[in-house]
Amino acid sequence: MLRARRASDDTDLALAHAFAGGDETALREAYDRFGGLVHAFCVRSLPSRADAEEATAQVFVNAWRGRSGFDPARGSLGGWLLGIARRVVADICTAAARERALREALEQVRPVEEESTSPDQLVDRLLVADAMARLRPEQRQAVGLAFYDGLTHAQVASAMGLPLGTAKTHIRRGLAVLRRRLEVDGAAPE
Amino acid sequence: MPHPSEDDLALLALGEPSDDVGAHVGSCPSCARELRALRSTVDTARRADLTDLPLPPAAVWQRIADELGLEEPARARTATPARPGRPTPWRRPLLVGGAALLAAAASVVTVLAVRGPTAPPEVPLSALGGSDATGRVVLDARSVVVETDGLPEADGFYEVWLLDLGEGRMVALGALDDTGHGRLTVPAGVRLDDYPEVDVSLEPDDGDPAHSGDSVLRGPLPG
Ligand SMILES: [Zn+2]
Repeated sequence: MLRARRASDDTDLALAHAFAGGDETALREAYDRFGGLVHAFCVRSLPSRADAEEATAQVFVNAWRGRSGFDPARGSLGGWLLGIARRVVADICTAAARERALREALEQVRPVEEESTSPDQLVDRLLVADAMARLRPEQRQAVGLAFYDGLTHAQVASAMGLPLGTAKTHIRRGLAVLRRRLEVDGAAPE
Repeated sequence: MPHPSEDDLALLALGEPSDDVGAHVGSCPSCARELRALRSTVDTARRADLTDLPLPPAAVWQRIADELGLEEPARARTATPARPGRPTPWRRPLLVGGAALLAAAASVVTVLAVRGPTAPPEVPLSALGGSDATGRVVLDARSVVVETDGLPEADGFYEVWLLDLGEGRMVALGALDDTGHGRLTVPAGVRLDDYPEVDVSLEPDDGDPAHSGDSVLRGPLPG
């Protein structure tokens, strides 16, 4: 399948190279670009907001110190940062679970099983949100109407005042961008 | 029927029924595979939380800049008092994840960051396992600062741990850099009071996050 390259891909790639090269302004740019994504992952993975903020800071500290281990040719900066975020969050959860287990053993309470989203699913959903926010406006609108409002392509065309073929193309291209992003950075297997 | 257009396949993935396309996909493995991939993207996208992904509060960036000793950019910055004991000058990148061969240089003489009169106490680490390395540790707020000399060059990397041998608990803090130095932030949720000791181990590059059992330096965690 044809892979559409977009301007934002090139911007992200340039940022990745500057980051790997140790340019301190690139750290701030990486934070501005991906801090929201990383923080959203931490907030949704950890029960306390204070922990999430500390985890977010830790991700960028670890990333900067470990940037020699980041190769822009082998993966995107966003995906790499999310990988670090998963390890940081897992460490915090392990420590918290240990404390909880100890407390429960002392109190003789049965743990409550919780149904929760896996880190893989969470990463993928956040990547989609990030990719959606970067679609061209007309693609985003078409995709939004088709994905979330359940409109057919004919209804999308009429809602947006577009020819049928153009509506179809917006939807297909938008979907392709999201798919590509999941394939590049995503966690879940196909 | 020939293979449907990508447009039509995308619409089918979104749930717009089409008898022609549906019939073709039912008998064409390559289109069926493509459709499955598209459906999985659609499925993930439909579960996505499309709220904005706003940046965390400004304090988070401040913490990063403090921790890394970054020069403050002139922009958008209200004055913050300088903290004693900071910042350490930039050193070599930390080997996160143990990706690299560690060349701990016995010849490199490093000193801890210049510390003011209120500097936290420095505690020596003792060599274990026949090593004649030396080390010191300082606790600076939630950072464990470890300085070593004479760790032998080895395959793998040196990792710093918080240790509670009585309870059999430990927390990995991160790796020393290749000058044998590390400034490692204690993960959120870890209570320093729970861990009386600091341990440095030699970890092989085997991807196993557990302690190797090969401790080279150990000492009390400064209070
Ligand atoms: Zn086909």
